[in-house]
Amino acid sequence: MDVLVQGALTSAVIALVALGFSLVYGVGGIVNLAHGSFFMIGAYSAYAMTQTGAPLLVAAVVGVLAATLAGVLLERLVIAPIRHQEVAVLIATLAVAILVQSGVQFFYGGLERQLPGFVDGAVSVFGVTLQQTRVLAGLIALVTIVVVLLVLTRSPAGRMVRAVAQDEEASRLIGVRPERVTLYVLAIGAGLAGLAGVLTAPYGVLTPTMWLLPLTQAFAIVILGGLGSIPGTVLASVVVGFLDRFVAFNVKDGDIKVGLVTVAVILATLVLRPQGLLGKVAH
Amino acid sequence: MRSKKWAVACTVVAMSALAACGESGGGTAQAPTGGASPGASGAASGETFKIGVFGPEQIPQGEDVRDGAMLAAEELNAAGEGAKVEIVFCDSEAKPEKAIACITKFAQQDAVQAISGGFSSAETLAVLDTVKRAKLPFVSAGAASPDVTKGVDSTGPGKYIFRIGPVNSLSLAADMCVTVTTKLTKEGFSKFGILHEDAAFALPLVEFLNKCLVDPSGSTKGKIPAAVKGVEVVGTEKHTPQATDFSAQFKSLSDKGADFVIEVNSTQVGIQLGKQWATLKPGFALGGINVSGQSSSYFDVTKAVGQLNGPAGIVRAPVSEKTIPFFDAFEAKYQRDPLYNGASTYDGIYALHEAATRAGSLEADALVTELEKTDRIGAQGVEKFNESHDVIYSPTDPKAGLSLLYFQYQTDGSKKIVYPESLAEGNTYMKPPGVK
Repeated sequence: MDVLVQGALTSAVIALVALGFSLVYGVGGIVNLAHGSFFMIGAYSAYAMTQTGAPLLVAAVVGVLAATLAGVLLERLVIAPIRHQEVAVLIATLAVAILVQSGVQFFYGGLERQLPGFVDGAVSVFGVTLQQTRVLAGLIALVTIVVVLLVLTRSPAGRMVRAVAQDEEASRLIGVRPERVTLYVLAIGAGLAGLAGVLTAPYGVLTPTMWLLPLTQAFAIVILGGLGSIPGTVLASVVVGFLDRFVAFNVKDGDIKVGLVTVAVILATLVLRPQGLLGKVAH
Repeated sequence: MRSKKWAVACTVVAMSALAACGESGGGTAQAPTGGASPGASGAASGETFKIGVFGPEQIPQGEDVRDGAMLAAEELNAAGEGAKVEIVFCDSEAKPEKAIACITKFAQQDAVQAISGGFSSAETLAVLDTVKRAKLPFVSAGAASPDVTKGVDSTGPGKYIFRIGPVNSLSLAADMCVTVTTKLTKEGFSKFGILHEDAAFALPLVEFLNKCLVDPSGSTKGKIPAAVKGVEVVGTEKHTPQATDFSAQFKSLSDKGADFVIEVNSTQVGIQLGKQWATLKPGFALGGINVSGQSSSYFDVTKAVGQLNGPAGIVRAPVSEKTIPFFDAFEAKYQRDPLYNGASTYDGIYALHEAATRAGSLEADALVTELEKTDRIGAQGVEKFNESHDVIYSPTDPKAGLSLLYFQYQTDGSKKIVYPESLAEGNTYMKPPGVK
């Protein structure tokens, strides 16, 4: 039961990060290695606000907005000019990620920081005692994912996103501007990652290298789910989230080995099913 | 499509390279040669004794190394006796390669006459060869690994290496073993779990503890008498220094029936561990080495009522005649309680200065000779070195070496010493909320 409950919560939070990563790849063909930085920017911005005495809710909103703004700036200033040069985008976004890490290190040092939680206590879920803040994070993540999926599948905006993802040139013929859609998607993806950063900060720690784990998890999920496949991303998030908790709870010194899960998932998928769970076979 | 696939493959490679980059830090330290005590010609008043101090400045443990050294230098210079002390601080960033670079810089650029500080066994062990080549006296003040002073004697290449605190991790383990078998069993605990950081100092400690708890006399060749029978180690769990979720380890130890879990961690990970224990109330008591748990702000974040902390902590108590004055001076200057290595670095600077004064010289070999004769009362207690230049641990006689203490967080967040009884001032161990 521990694995089920904790796996569900973990899956929801990592899906929040992976969804943005997958959307940006699906729509713009962009592998954004700075995606984990949005997670960190969200958490640190919220932390910075709490240090000024701002209420936690205000700090959280600012954290999400800061990550969203960072996404817009990244797209406009870095990605847009080189959008069709895939390797250049990879290198540029990696450089941005390192730059953001250095900036955080410069302003805050390496000392681990902590964000207070909206709630502080324990709660029993199906007999499993959990920190309330962890449950809250999982629930908010779950609701957010459902909203994003509904928007993508039921709204005109979602149809535009899917149109661009299916065929960029064809989408132009029906009046869609792919560049604009890419910008919006990157901003939303950044906001989702920022929200994940804000939600997990109260039970995690803020460090200048905190961007790397969510990025590698998102990467593993997107490869497992199938590049650019949104249903695949959600399904893969569940697989990785449960696998993570299964290892933690059932393998001796599982905490030490949990980091290997993402690497193993990437390797196994590339070798056994390169198109991922729900991706299309390339011809 | 092919180019996209290629891009993805590139990404994997780039990320692997990045991860490797993060580990190595890109630092390549050159070993210093011939840096022994330039300008060492005496330690009279008016001369300057340059001491290199290193530690990870970004974390509280490193801040305390720096601030403990600065406080000692300030006091010594204000007193005006002997050489003027100048501290040259180098940020080791908790990375062994950076720590090595610090030693190289001390020897080649800063021309220091001695070195102190260091936090974590990983970075301290990494600098030892460089220290030997630099031939500079090094008073280690933050690492507990037994290997720090392994093979050290008065004549070999390791003669420059001393450790003034904490006591080595095997002694820490022995102290915990004694406390468990003679004190905690009287509180009704019999099934112990161990939850430790995957760190250099912790591994030998846990190995020793596992043997000693079940057979104190056998594992210590009679040095620790067989105490209460029936002590059982029900499980040992490991976590990374970056862990943020301990629920799996809590469940494992709880399912195995642990009624007391001994923690061993030296980094900030202790904060989340304490917080989750206090929040989730897994049914067992918690206590042991938690360096973060020594800080002033720990209780405000964790609300860990009943958590035991020790050995090797420092509390405002009359451990020695210098403990409370040190504690008050540190608190007044930095507005926070010192951690263990704030005290040990502070004492290390004093020990070096006293050695220089006795030697009448800042020359390395003269300092080593005098350091070996150290017999002083410091903030930690009585400080003497054994033949391996390790600070002497004395569990029963506080005049013969360092004794270790254990404090417990009270409901109001205050820290009360509960062991040893001689310092407890009548305080006794209380079972934490939720523990039967």
